Amino acid sequence: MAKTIVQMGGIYETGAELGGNVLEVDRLDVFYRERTRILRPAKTLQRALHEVSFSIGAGEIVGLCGESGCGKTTLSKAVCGIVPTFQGRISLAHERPQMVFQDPFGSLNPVKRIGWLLEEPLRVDRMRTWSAAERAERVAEVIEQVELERSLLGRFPAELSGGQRQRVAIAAAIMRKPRFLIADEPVSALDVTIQKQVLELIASLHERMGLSMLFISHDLRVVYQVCDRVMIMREGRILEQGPVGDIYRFPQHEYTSVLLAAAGLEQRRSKRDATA
Amino acid sequence: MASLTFAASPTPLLEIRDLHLEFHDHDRPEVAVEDFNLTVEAGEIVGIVGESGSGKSMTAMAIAGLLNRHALERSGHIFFDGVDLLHCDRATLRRYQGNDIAIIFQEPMTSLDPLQRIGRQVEEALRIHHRELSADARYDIALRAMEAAGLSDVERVYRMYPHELSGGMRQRVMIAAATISRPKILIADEPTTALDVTIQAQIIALLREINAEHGTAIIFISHDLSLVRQLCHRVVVMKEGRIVETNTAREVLLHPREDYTKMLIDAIPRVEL
Amino acid sequence: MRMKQTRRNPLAFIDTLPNPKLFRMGALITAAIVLLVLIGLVWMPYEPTAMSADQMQGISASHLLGTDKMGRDILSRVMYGSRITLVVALGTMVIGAGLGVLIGAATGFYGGMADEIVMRIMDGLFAFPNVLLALVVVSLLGSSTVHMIWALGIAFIPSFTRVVRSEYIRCKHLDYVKNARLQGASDARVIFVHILPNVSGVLLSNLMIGFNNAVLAEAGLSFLGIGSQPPYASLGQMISDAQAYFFEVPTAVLGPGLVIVLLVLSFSLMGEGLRSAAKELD
Repeated sequence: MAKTIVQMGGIYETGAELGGNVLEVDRLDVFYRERTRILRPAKTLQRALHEVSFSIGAGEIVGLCGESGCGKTTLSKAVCGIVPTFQGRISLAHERPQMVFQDPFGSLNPVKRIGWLLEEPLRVDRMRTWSAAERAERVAEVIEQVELERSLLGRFPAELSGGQRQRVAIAAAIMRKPRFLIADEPVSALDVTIQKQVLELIASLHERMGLSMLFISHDLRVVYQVCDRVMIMREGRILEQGPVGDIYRFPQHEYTSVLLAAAGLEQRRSKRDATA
Repeated sequence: MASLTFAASPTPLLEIRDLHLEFHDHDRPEVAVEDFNLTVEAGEIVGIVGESGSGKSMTAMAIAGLLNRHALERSGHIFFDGVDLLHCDRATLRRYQGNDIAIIFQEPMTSLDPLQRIGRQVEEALRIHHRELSADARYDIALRAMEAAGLSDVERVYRMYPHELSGGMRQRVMIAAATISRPKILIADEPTTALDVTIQAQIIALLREINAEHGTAIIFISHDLSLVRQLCHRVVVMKEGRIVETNTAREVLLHPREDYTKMLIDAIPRVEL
Repeated sequence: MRMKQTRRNPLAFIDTLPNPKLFRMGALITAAIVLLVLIGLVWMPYEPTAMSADQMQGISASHLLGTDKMGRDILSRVMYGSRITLVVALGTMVIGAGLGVLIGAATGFYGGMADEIVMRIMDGLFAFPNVLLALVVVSLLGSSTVHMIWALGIAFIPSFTRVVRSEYIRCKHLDYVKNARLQGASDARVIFVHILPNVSGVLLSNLMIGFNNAVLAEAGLSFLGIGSQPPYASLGQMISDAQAYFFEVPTAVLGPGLVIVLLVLSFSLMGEGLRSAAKELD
């Protein structure tokens, strides 16, 4: 129900009527400009994203794969509404999405206790006011869902392990019962065994809450584990997108094949040619 | 890969015996590494695999002689070239560091001095250990080392500063700097973790090449079992400071004996296409 | 279901500091001086301005620190003078640090052209010597304690602005700030509730140093005759007055001097207690 038109004519709307989709991105171009300084005029505009178009349906987990600098972060920022210079349309069926960041450093405020951090999304909730009792109740509910011990509420982030911190981040993100979430490399900084646990948690939450997600990761194996569909990104463009199994088995682009090979998932050419 | 097996020789290149490392800078002593035993033959590539807190990096630092000697209690032996690196004096240790023993780290961003040009940093080991070389000789050797490390347009890169290079290029610079004095053993502590997938594969290939061409032994530390499998002859699995299992790479991955190893292998997301 | 925060001993935080011993020492000395001043609010041995015939007396039973040129009891004057010094120093901090933090936080957080302008103004202010600035203010408004506080306070703003600004520039790009904004926190909330506690570590150190500088600046300025006017003298003024007869009545200089030294020392000790000692390199 809220539509913003940014400087360059791009449209960002929340609460839109999108049929069965939670997110629709239509021909998105994102630009950025060097910071203006006195006596040093800004350089020409650079384009970070080129004509990006995709949609995410209710209950879908869509993966976004690419290497550093390909524009994954810019895209997630744009979908969250913190990029002011874009053209095209970004429409969300609900409110602005919450994000789960890649720990370990910096995603939880180091001087605040876990309990405080978990209550914060409820304190600044613009949709409704939560009383102290309601907040405590909701927090207790969520930490049970993410399998965190209640004793951790009084601790500081530095006292938690990487896996526990990530659970806190996930808990904070689902505190307001969102329908759509963005996860930016949520397990990349975790040990393999912890990774597995957190991925299982994400999968179970997805099932329980019907959560849709944009799941950003450079790890193709992890994407295979959680995502229904995947988008391959390079230099600001989406090279191809489709169901995970299809893309992995029959990559259309050279670059996708390169990524698959690097992840040790290369398919023998004969199989691909056979079904071409 | 992994068809080569190295017979244990009477004089291995590196022999670590009963290594025990303990921290004493907090209230309670913290054991970082316990009962660690390992031999590395010349030309062998050994992978040390473990999760965070397993003690793998600590072991690497101990071999390279880079541990802060004050807050640490250590016992055991690290025999290299007949010398016990764990108990020798600093001067002796310095003779090996950068010369016969080289190390490359995980963060290419912070491993290089941002204020010095690349070329100078690559040559550093020569400057210290081979003072007989002239400046021209050093320059030539540096360029060749950089080329061998897979860098192109090396004359231009020689004059550049670290911030002008990408992460992959910086790691190649590190490798060039580390291998320039033809070390007998190269320690690589998670050298590809901070790099993109495609670059990772290239760096692994580069390490394999260095091992094949110069017979440099490599200790490859990683949390990534699949990478270790691609590169290493032998694998050591560590957990909480102790060795859990050790075998050829092939055996560890196909026929793991210990539960922990099985758990690690199991945790790798499976892709069935 | 409620999350209980157990009430702990508020002074327990001292044990978590890098150097509790130093901090405790400094805190004790400060407490002693503050106690002296507080007592002085309700009782002093004599009226600080009361002149008497017992001029230039040394230490005695009736005058613990002796009397000055005009027969005034030095101890009482020291108690009173300390009050002025503390008030000026604290007032300076309130203005300098208070405004400095506000400006630094805002300009660091928002950046842009406004930031550039503000920083250039700060640079100009910083380059201006304290003494000259105080003189300018005094010549415009007249010499008094309040004006001194304003003059010094304004002179102290730039250093706090700079420190706080650089901390905000560092913190504002961190993920937890992005997260807070995404959750819907207002800018003000992010600045004061989220980022400020992270800055307080550095800030506290600077506050200690700033306080010391304020004490010394005040002493220096009143020594030169700017600031509080006689007969109500601050410590610096007392030293200035008494330096001529230092050898006859040394306590007239040593009394106020000692308080200044102890005050600065104690704050330095507390500041050191907050900082972790540099790690010994191998």
